Amino acid sequence: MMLSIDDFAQRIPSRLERIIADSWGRGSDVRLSGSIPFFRQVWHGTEAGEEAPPNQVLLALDPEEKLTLRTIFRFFGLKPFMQSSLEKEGLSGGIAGAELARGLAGLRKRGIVFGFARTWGEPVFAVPMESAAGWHQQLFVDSGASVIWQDEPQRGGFVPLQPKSQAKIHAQGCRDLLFEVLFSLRYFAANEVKLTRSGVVSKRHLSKWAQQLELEAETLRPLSLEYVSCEAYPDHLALILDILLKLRLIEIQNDCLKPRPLRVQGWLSLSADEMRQVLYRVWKKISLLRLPVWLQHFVMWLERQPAGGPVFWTDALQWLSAHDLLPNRHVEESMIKTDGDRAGKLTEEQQLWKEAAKLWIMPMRAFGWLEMSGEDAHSIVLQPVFSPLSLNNASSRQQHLPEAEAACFVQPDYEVIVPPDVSFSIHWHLDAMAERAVSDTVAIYRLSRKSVQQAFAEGYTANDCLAFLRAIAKTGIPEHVEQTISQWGCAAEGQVSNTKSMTAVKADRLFRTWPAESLPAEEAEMRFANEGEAQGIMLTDYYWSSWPVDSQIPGDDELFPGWRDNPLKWYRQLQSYHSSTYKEMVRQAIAWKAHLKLLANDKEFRLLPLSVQERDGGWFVKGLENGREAVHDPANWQAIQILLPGIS
Amino acid sequence: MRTKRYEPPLFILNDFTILLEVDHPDFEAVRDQLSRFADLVKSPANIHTYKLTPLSLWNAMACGMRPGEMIDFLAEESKFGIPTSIRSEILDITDRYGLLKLETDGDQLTLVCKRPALLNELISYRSLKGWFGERLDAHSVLIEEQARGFLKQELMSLGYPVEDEAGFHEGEKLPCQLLEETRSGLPFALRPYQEQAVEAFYREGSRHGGSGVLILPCGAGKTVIGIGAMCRLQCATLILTPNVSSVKQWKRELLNITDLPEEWIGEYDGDRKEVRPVTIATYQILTHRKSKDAPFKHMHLFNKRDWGLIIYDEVHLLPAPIFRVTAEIQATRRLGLTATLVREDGCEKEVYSLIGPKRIDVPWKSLEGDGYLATVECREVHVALDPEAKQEYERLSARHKTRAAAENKRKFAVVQALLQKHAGMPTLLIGQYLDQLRQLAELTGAPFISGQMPHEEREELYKQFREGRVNPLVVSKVANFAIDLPDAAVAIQISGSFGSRQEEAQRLGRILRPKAGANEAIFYSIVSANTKEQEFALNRQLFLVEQGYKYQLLDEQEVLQEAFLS
Repeated sequence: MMLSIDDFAQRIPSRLERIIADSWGRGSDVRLSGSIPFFRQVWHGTEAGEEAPPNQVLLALDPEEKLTLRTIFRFFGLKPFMQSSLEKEGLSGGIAGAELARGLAGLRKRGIVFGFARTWGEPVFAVPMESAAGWHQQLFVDSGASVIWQDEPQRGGFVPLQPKSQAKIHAQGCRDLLFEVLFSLRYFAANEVKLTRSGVVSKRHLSKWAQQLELEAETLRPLSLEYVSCEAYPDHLALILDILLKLRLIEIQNDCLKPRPLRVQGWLSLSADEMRQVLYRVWKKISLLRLPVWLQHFVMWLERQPAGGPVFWTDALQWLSAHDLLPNRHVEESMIKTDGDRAGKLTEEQQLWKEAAKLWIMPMRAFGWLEMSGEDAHSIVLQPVFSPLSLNNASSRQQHLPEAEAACFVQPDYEVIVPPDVSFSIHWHLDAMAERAVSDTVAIYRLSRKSVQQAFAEGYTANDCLAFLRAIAKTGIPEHVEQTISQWGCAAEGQVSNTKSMTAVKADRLFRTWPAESLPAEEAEMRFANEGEAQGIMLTDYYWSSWPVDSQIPGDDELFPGWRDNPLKWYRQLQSYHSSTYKEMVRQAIAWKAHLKLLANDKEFRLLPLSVQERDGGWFVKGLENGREAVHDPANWQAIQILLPGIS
Repeated sequence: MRTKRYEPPLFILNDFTILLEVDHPDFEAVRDQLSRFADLVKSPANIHTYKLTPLSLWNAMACGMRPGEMIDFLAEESKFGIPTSIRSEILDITDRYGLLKLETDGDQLTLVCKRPALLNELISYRSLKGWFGERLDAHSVLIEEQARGFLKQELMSLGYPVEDEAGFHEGEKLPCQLLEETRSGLPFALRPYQEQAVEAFYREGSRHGGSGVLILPCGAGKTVIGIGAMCRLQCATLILTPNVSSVKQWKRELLNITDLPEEWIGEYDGDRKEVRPVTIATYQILTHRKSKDAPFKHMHLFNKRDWGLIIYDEVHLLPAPIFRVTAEIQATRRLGLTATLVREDGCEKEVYSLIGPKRIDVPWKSLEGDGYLATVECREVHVALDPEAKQEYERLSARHKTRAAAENKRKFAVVQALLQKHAGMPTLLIGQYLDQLRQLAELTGAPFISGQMPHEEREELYKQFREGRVNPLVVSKVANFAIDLPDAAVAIQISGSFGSRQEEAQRLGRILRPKAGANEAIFYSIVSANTKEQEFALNRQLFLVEQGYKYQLLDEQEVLQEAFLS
């Protein structure tokens, strides 16, 4: 499970808060945990205000902090890491441990990376997911995107793929996850879903619940999700259940899973895009760490592509390749070459596509969040349905839709057609009183005797139904439809009053009151965006919410113990010394994992010393020069300097 | 001229459904364009539903429309854009159109394919192998003459429509003209949409025309259009219809509006077997055989004369054996007439391959708006069962409940009240159960037509009804199809199967023809309240409102009170 600000914001030790505030030149009175806008500014730099724009935040970092942050992303993506593994990965790229150690300390002081102490082993570090996108964007800049025009004269002219600016948002062929969540909530509202003695939903209910959904377990299988009671729940139901529990939309009451009325109302008062963003966040938190690092980079790149615009898979590969983020060099070559040269390299490229498709693109498509066309890796065009990052951006927040907006069409054939821009609370009520026919960009519900009687069983009356339909109908309710519903009401009156579920649901008037008395939309949005998540059923290796936040950030004396015992010129000047001093300085650099600056044959170069080898009465230094192994004879050295970050 | 508007009227769904807002100022312009490449599924008030299918797209391509036009149109008129999947599917499907073409090269029939690789693949198909002759070059292959229809059918089932430009033989010459004054003394000319329909089929006699389907609503004068096409082609014509009443109607119309002498028109049905330059036959007689394994001995009618045109009336009812024969006569011009392309048996592709693509689809609403069809209002009157009847009803099994509800005696009073209300208006009383209809006939003094009555007698009564000498007329389901009762303004359905969309459409069709004066008609259904019949009536209600008719529910008391007060 990825680290999220919510996991620890309220537990940041005041000492760490002070350190972070000081590093940004803020007054010591600022309590960071209570100062969300400041956090946002630091973490993703997207909050409008007096603070510096994001690229300037990056510029404010020390060189080793920038290098360390890039190294973290480059090798770990968003995966938590330990300092030892960071240094190990850095070493393979010729980066000195000293730079990374100091860079990491600097990033911690700035509140960009957080450390968590565990009862065993090294502390674990991570970049919170909220800030990662912003940093990632600044560290791995985008190149221009393409717009393809297909010249097809026989088709009656040019057939343009929509340029990004003109493209409109549209849901994918698969049903939006919003509906899966809504229909699951509706199922829990309309049925008494009792848990078995082992604390899981019974098979009978699981089967009926699954029938409400279009999402399939197979789509999620490649991710190998781990969760409690995995023997009881298929992956897709486990995911939805986890989401509902984490967002506190349902709770266990008297061994039953029940929706939480106020919470559900708050949820339904969000716009569709806001809901998607919240769901995306939960989904990302669950799934991202299950992806290989290169794919995490792709995800972060994809997140910042404009909603509705075409995104070419080949562009993604080019971008990954340009930033050296692909797992295999061959692919990079194959991308650069022309079509004719590509033969023989395609398999590698197809492998990448296959991996991306099964682990990320297909699930996103199944959630209705990503459209896709094209048949092979070279012709794939993706179209994000919404922008997952814009929740952090105040200016992009949508206006909340009035719940009773009369935007729907109550048709004479008993169908209710719901355009995409109406509140989900309308869907809630319609789903209670009508059968689902289509849940696409436009939803269609069908009123029938059975469905209306079901609504009566949930506590609605014929008058409730009619009042609701009148409120949402753009062109009124056809007279015969109104008469028929009234007749169904009369016929059903005596029948439902004694049902068990009626009593149960009647107590919960909030679900059937129209218009609902609900949470102010702004408040609801803030809650779902910033409030910590509850315990779901997904398992994790990282218990962020129970591990203490590590505020012990090492200073130079801890990072480079004993540095003060040596002459300052060792660090500040490139100078000639006796061979024994060279040896001592080399050993010191090895201990601190620091670079040496050397002058040999009148040429300056940097060496990361790894070991001293005694041979034939002399001694040699083995290390990395420009990332490649090299062995040097100190007899050739004319001058030396230890490069200690922050000191030299 | 398009009016300025703020928001486009279409919603495009991922399942190829397109919803069109009816109250939009550009409704008509958008509907006209949309219906060129999407099939109308239903048209209730507010929102009309269309569906894009491979056939609808290929039909549009056959009429010269291009995918760029379709996509541009959808992009411009859609509120929320076109889903990527729809865009690419339209391109994929339309890409297949025009890949394959049937042409003639001298006497030889050739299949020409734009993509040699596709032709290679098709030639390797086992099911097709037998039809191919010599490979002429990378793009073309010779085809056996008799394979023309079967090949088109088979290729269509593989997802490749064939453009048939192999042309037609002329057939036996038949000089015939449409009259400017009918023989009954009325001025006559094809209406503009009828002219348009004939031209859409004929296409100036080019190889692009001469086969296809015309879609027009009930009452739009499909018979007249068929006759118009025949007069344009001036050739011997075989007309296939669903039943004997329809045969009579075609004959009556031919005699009334053309200069053809009666002896040139033959009837070919159970009673008569006349083969003349214009022959009208029923599907039933063509598909008649003595036993399941016996041959269809009347199918030879297709070869009895050198027909230049075959007209398939109500083509959506065309039986499978006739498809098979039609596949063998692809060099003959073929015209399909129908109100809907939707077939209960799902054989729409066969209609496309063997009869031809859709050539025109005239919207019902535009004809109503222009006064060519009557404005119809549907009313459902709920009648309670008597307490004793109710008790009896509750005791019956589900199967018997339906009939008991249908034969509710209280319905008669309502019929009488309605007759009183619409006194003087030509009225049909329609029902399912003969005993009930007999009682109704006795009660109202109206003549009763059932299947047991000889055709001549039926025709005589229809004639009297048309001339206003008989009113009302009680009819059983024999009157569902193709009887022409132009002035019926009120239909009262006392019982029916209610679940059958076909039956409802046909019964309604009886009163759709334009009326003098207000040009309005009313279709009543009398239904027993709170019974199975009411549940079934809901299907009927749905069907009618889906067609776009106004629908009203009434209580028997309202009807009786109104009659009492009047």
